Amino acid sequence: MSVLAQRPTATLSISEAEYQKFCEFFYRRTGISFGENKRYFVDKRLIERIRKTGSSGVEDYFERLRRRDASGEIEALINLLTINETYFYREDHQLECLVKGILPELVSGRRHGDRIRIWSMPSSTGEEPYSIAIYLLENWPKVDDYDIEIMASDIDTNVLRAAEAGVYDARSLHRLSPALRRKYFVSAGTEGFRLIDAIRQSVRFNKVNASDAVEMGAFANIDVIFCRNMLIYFDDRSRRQVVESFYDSLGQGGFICLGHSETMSRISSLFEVRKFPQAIVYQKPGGSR
Amino acid sequence: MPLIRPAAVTPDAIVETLESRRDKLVGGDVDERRHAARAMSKDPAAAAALAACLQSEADPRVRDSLFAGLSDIGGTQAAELVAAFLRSDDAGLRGGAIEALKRLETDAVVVLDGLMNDPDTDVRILAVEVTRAWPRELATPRLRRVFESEPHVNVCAAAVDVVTEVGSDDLLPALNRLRQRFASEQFLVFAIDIACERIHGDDARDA
Amino acid sequence: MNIQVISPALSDPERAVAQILVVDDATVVRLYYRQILEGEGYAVEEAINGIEGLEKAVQTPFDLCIVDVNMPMMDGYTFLHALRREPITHAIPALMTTSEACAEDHHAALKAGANAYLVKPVARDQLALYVAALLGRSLS
Repeated sequence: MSVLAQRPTATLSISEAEYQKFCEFFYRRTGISFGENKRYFVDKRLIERIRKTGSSGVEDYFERLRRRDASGEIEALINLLTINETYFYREDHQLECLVKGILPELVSGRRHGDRIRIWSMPSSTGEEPYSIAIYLLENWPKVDDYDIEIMASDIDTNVLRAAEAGVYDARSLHRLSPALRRKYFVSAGTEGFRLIDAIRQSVRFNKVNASDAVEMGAFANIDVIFCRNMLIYFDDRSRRQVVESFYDSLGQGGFICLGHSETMSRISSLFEVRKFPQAIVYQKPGGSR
Repeated sequence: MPLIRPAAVTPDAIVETLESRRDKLVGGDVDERRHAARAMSKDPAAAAALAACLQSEADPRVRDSLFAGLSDIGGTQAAELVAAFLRSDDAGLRGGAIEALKRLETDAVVVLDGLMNDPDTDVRILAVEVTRAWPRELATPRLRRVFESEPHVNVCAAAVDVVTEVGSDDLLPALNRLRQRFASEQFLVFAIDIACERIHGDDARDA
Repeated sequence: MNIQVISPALSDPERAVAQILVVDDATVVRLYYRQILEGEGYAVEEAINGIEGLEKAVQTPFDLCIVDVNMPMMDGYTFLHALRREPITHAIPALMTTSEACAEDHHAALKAGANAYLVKPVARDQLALYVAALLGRSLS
């Protein structure tokens, strides 16, 4: 490496060209674009990772990101660059899409009492699967016509345990109206609010490693998968494999919803793009030849 | 209450013979063909069979699994089998081949070196794209050779695009000479200036 | 130069700028087209393959898309077929580009749903001319 490309990390800064180069790399990899207005936000975090990895400078760090064994570093970088919080009714336009677009299409050939299987992964501390349950009860006119199974999975047993306990602080509930809070939660004193038993018991939580094809293979005939803000952290090979597992777990015509800034375009061409008024989702084509 | 607590999930073990897999590779429905292809990726001897299926498989989802099977098997034979599809009339097969060759990494170097000298311009363009996935030590000498002696503007352009991502300072002189060689080609001059900016923060005229 | 424009775009004459989607996996190509098109007063969005192209096309009412043939995940022909099948996007004019130069490819592009076809490398005034023609705009 030439002397020109090295800079002492003590005076590390990211040039305009380096910022462009990073943005192009990141866009190619994730589909996420950063504009000039994100300059400070990105530079700061890039510099942090350059230091933490002991890279000699921006050039060196970029080469590190391109290496075969880069997945740990890419995960760390993406963690810094994306906002990762969970709360009830997060991205609820997708829940609206579920009720107004996805479910009506799915049930059009089904009879009363038929099963509908919804899978939330990663379920984290449970806000997502419980949100699905509450939203369906509150907003889907046909919710009583079908048997709805909600499965929730995560690799982390700590968050699974927390999810099963179903206790949340006020911040987690901030998007729920007072009426919904009264209806579905009881006070848990200083710990916050506890989800009512009827909802807590309606979701089954499983420990699942998304990269384990055998564990994933236990899920079948799923109608809708919510996989938000997980795939973005995986390297190319792993995220392809996970998406294939999801595809195999879905019934024909089944749907998968990703996080709103995520895209299948970097991962797999197995799914069809479906546009609903509330969201873009992906569908496993029905019918096979 | 319409919400039903799901039953506990337990993984199933499905045992299939290699013969039944091969049968499903052509006879089954889309999902059966996909699974057959993936199952055969565990068997190095299956590489030729997977490539043969690609000749006639029309469904992009199954093609995806066939290419994935070949890149999982790995090795130079698989690389040669995949590389043959760079010549295909079908854009989907060409694209699938490029992605599989990228995944094959160093297993594909020998066959790609040959393709970068192929008489067909389009094959050379696609071969150059694969170097994007290579470590710098492997990619740089190949890209330099393109800049120095490739006659076709579009092959050079493909290499310049790779270099905006992969390039290092030592390619700047070759890029400068390329810029002079194709001084009247608006797009290529533009692309070279971008590449030089990305590599070093200024354009080729200052190198 | 023979431009086959089968169906001119229906753009709102009151709108000052047209919106163009550029679908090409090469960064330098997208930057080059962006420079030319923004210089002509158009708004530009990018996609690096056919899947991203479709995702963007169903969300934004583009007046034109420029799409390359060879892209990962979903090539240009497959993208065009999907574009023409999808009710939201089926009428968007499409300019197909390729580094290939055979006559069969010209036919294949038009059959897949392209309105016009250009062989790379594309000169600046050539792109501006084709885009204006497809948008039904005068260049004077």
